Order: sequence, then C-alpha cells, then structure tokens
Amino acid sequence: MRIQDVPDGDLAKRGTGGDREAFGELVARYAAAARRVAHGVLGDPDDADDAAQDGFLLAWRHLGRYDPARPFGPWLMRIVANAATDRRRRRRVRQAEPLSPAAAAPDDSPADVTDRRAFYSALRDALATLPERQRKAVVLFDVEGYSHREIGEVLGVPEGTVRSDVFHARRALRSHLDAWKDWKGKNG
Amino acid sequence: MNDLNAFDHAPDSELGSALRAALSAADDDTFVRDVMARLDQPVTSWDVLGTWVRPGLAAAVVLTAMAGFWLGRAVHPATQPVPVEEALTVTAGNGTMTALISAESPPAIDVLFQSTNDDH
Repeated sequence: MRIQDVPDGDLAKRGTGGDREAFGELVARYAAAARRVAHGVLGDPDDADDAAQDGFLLAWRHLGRYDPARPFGPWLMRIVANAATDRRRRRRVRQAEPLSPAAAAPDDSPADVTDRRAFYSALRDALATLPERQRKAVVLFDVEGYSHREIGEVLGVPEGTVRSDVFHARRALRSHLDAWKDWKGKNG
Repeated sequence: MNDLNAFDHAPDSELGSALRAALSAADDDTFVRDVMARLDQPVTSWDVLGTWVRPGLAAAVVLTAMAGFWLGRAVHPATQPVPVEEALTVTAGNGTMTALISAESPPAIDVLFQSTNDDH
C-alpha cells in the first residue's frame, strides 16, 4: 500500500513509533488546512506559518496522546489553533501583509487580479474584526469542512456554541461578500 | 443570505471558497520540508526554559506574596495572647476578681461592690 493511501490513524501509530515518513505524510495532508486555520486566527501569513509549524512539532512530540480511534484532523487542529492563539498573545504587530498568492487566477486580467486581491484583503480584515472563537469556528466549518461536533471538541465548547459562532461570523462576512458581488455585477 | 441560511448546518460553499482563497498560502511543499527539518533539530535549553516561563512566573508571584506576608508579620507582630490569670492579676491586683470567679458559692453583695469599686 502506498503511504498516500494509509489512513491517518495508522500513520499516527507509525509516527508514535518514530516513523518520520509517516508523520511527514500527515504534515503534507494537513499543511494547507493548518496554515489556513492559523492564518484565520493571526491574520498574518508569516505568523500563521510559524504557528502551524509549532502546532505540527507539538503534535509530533505528543503523538502518543492521540487516540487513533478518533479522527486525527480535529486533534491536530486543536493543537494548531491553540498554537496560533498562543503566538497571537506574544507576537509583535506587523504592518505590511503580503498579498495572498491564491488571490489571482491564471486567466484574470490585471484589473481583475487587483479587484480580487482587494476583496480578499477586505475579507481578511473583516475576519480579523471577529472574536477569535468565531474566526476559528467559521474557518473550520466553512473552509475545512469539520462538523459542529468536531469543532466543539477543537474549541472546547458545546456544539450549540459552535453553531452560534458560525452564524454570527457568517452574517458579518457575508455582508462583505455580497457587497463585493454587487459591485462586480455593476462594474464587471 | 438571510439569517436562516446563516444558521444552516451545511457549510457555506461560496463563503468557504472565498475564505479559502483569502487564507491559503503558497508552497505547501516548502512548508512541509521546513516542519520536517525542525523535527530533526534537538530541543534546546531555551526551548525547555520557554516552557517553564509561565509556571516560573506564577511560582515567583506566590513566593513573593508569601515573603511579603512573612515580612509584614515580622515587622508588625501580632499581639501575643495573655494568660487569663495574668490578665486578672493586672485588672484586680488585690486578688478579689480571681476569688470571685473561682468561688463555688455566690459572693456577698458587699464583696461584689468592693470588687467593682476596686476596678474603678
């Protein structure tokens, strides 16, 4: 069986025994999600990468505490989200934030790229105004696809609280998205 | 989106796509290599020290508070309790009060008035 086909739990078991290749596969599987969750918490991509790395290192050191009978993603995301929160407390403020490379589609005109980047920047700013738990909840739910129950485990709150957080976050972010769509409809 | 949809149990794919694009970073491969390289780095004494910063600070606060309390008591010692016999001796130097308290039968009225007059 190729390592790409090995389930998370089996990889984690192998990682517990010191198998770096197995853990590396887990890192590869969850790198993008961990970076996004950390970015959602911190708002800065460099800080987010540092926090996500911290999270993976902590996961590696404490892999023996993971219960293979449960999904690996929520366990890891809890560590990453906590690492991001910890770094948020300690970090210095950075003023300049590089634009996301994901903001441009290959066939966009320069004007489209600029518009899209401006929108994503506004969306990140809007996300940054939300309470931290709402940010985590909406990113984990709408971006990463975790269930309310799993997010509740990640955040250590009841499922109903997660639903409420997602609701409020969506309502705030949706207003930006809808405004941008209206603007694009009139100007695009 | 109305409020009902905002409370939907299903992920909002449109908002999710926008957030994904806004939050995604480039070059996951490099990130993975960086993480794996850090796995090989030994844990430094500074890392260990860093994990002890918060508990250390908490312990220092507790110790400082305890030391302050101890010093405060040393500078302003609490009044030592005085044995009852000594207090009675001071109050009633002629021993009348002691006799009144330790007597098995009620005192005569003149003795009682005598005791009160002695106090004043």
